Amino acid sequence: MTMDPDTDTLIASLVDDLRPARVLRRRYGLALAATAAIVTLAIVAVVFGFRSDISAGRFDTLFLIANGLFLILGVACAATVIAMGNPQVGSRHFGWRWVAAAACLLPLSAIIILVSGTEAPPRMIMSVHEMDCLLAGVGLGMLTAAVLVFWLRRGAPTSPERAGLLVGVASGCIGIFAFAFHCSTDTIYHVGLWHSAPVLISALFGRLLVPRLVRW
Amino acid sequence: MKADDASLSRLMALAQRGDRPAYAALLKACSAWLRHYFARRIAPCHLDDLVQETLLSLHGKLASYDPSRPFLPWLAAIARYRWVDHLRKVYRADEVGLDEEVSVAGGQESVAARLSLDGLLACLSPSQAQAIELVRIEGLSVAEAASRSGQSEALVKVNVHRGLRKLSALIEEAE
Repeated sequence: MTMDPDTDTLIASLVDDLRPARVLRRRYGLALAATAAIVTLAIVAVVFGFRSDISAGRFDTLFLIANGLFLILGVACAATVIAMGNPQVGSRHFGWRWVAAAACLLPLSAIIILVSGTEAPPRMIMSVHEMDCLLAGVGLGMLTAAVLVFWLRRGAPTSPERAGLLVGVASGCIGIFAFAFHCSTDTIYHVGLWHSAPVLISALFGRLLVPRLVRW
Repeated sequence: MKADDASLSRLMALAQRGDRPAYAALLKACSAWLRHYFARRIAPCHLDDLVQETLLSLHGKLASYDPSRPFLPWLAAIARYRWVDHLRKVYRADEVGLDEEVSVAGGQESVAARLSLDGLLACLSPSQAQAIELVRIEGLSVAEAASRSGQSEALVKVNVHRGLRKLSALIEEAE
């Protein structure tokens, strides 16, 4: 097959421009994301303080289950985003969807219990505290989002929209996971609705904003 | 040079360390591989541009190849991404996939390009495929396409828009 002369010229200029490249290895990305999550948790400890029962070494059941789900979903999405930095035909990134489906049980349970009247609904569905969780969850996720966007910009994501959505979900999950160590409300209404909301909002922001930052 | 995965992977690992002769050999082999890869997927008049765009992307994303993994699936992912981007640009610019110049060029490549498009269009709903065929491939105006297809003008626009979006998604998902 003949080579176009322009292609030959381009190849010569690319060769001339070659610089050693630092290979994007997934374990570095995972370490970066884990560091971001740990720093986020440290920020909560220093700025807001941990709730009293956790400080005393006691754990509420709903706290463990809900936060466990958010953490697993956050890790699954962050790991998927990191894998997307190294494109490969044949790679499928669908595992996070099952974890997301499991995490959906939290808001669904809250809605079912609220609508069915199984438990008395709270006097106020939304108060200042709920807004605190919402804003803190989104805000605290920014560090994770920044790390993941940095990774994607160095990598070559071939589905920017999906990568953006996953950056949003991962950052929202890590943000609310960290803030839950401060939030002392352990009702299914609060956790199911107001700890899920930052994940949804972050996912929306991620889907809308991140593709512009990582497209190449 | 024959583009076998092990050789290309070795050349790429050397290139990532700054070895220019290895990089030159790699780019030449990739260029030939890309020409073959795109030949059945794009109109011949766009082939050189797309190969060059993909080589530029490869150069910009050298770090994203992990030498512990196969090379060609990585190159194919880069190529596919550029191809989707190229399709979007071409369609957006109303530069129909098979214009007169291409039809005159004729030959097996344009037939193959057309066949690959047909395969993708078959995955769309009939109304979306028809709208894209009429507006983007045959080059009719929206009004003419509406008259020919029996769809309203608004529906033709919606079907073209949704069809192209689905087409892009299909290409991204296709392994």
